[in-house]
Amino acid sequence: MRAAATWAIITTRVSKERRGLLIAACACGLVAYLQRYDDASARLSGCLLFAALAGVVAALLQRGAGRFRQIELCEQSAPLYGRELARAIAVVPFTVVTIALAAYWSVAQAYSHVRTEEVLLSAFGAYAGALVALPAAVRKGAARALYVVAACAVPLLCFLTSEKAPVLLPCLLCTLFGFVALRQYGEALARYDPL
Amino acid sequence: MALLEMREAAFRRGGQSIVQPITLALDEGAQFAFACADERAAALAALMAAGLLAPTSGCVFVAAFDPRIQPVQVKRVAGYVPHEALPGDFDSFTQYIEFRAALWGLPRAQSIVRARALLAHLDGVHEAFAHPLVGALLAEPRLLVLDRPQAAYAAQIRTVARGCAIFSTHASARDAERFAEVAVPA
Repeated sequence: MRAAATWAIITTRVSKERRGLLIAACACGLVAYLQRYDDASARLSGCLLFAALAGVVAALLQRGAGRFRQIELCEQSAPLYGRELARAIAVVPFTVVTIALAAYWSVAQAYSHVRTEEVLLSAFGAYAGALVALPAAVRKGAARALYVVAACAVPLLCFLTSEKAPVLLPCLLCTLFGFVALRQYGEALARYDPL
Repeated sequence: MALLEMREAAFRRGGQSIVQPITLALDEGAQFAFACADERAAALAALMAAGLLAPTSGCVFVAAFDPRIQPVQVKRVAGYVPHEALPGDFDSFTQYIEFRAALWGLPRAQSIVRARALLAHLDGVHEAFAHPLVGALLAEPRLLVLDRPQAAYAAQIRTVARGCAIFSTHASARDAERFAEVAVPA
């Protein structure tokens, strides 16, 4: 895929999400402030919950919600493969999650020491949750609900695994889930039925 | 070789036949106004002809490419113009053209100049139709698919889409006849 096409999709969609970015950043910053005296485990769960939620909502709004119909039609009729489109669109919830995480950990850092593992785990969990939510936007009914449940379950799984196993295991699990979800999203876009 | 070939292409949803089987062949540079049973059928027939919607039975070929397995090649050949006015996702016409130019890999500055020149030919055409039409013509498609275009704009469409094969769908035979000489009732 041409870099110009990827960049155009990302910048156009992210510029439409400015309000969402602000809300995600404010919400996560507020949660971090409220959790300023909590222990590391509570902080991680709070950050994962809110950042993943922001990512899941951003992912669900990317397609089929009737928000960007003109952009969707342009993308759909452009000579791009589904996987290329999927990668470019995935950057939008990634951006929302990144902003949310940055807000959370910036505020948390002001009150206590933040370990690198916590940041890593929250990033992997929230990114994977957002990626798993992406295919839900192009599905309906039970399949859509299943993807949303899976998207919420991935950060939870990441958190639970991090309690029992070394940090690498939940990170690997999240990478695997995110990769499979992105592939499925690309395939769904390739055979996208706009009805 | 036909630029657009539809062989018994039909669309069903939930056991209900929405688009009756369509069989036609459209040559390079030709024009065809196709009359469908109703507005929904016309919208879906246009999407099928542009390779954006797979028929549930039969097949569609655009410049001998099969949209099911060669969607990118089909989208390089066909340009699609929707019927309904879409909400303005772009702040300006220039931004819309820049976005389309980036997606099709066209030079930005040249695309804007070309778009403005095309728009100048569409004087009197409502921008809700003119902008998507200019956008579709930007990549110089060989086939232009129009979903229920207004007959009043037929002359201007032919002017800006000179050299292009034009396939339009209409909600009734009367609309199709008004748009072009050739009309085939569904």
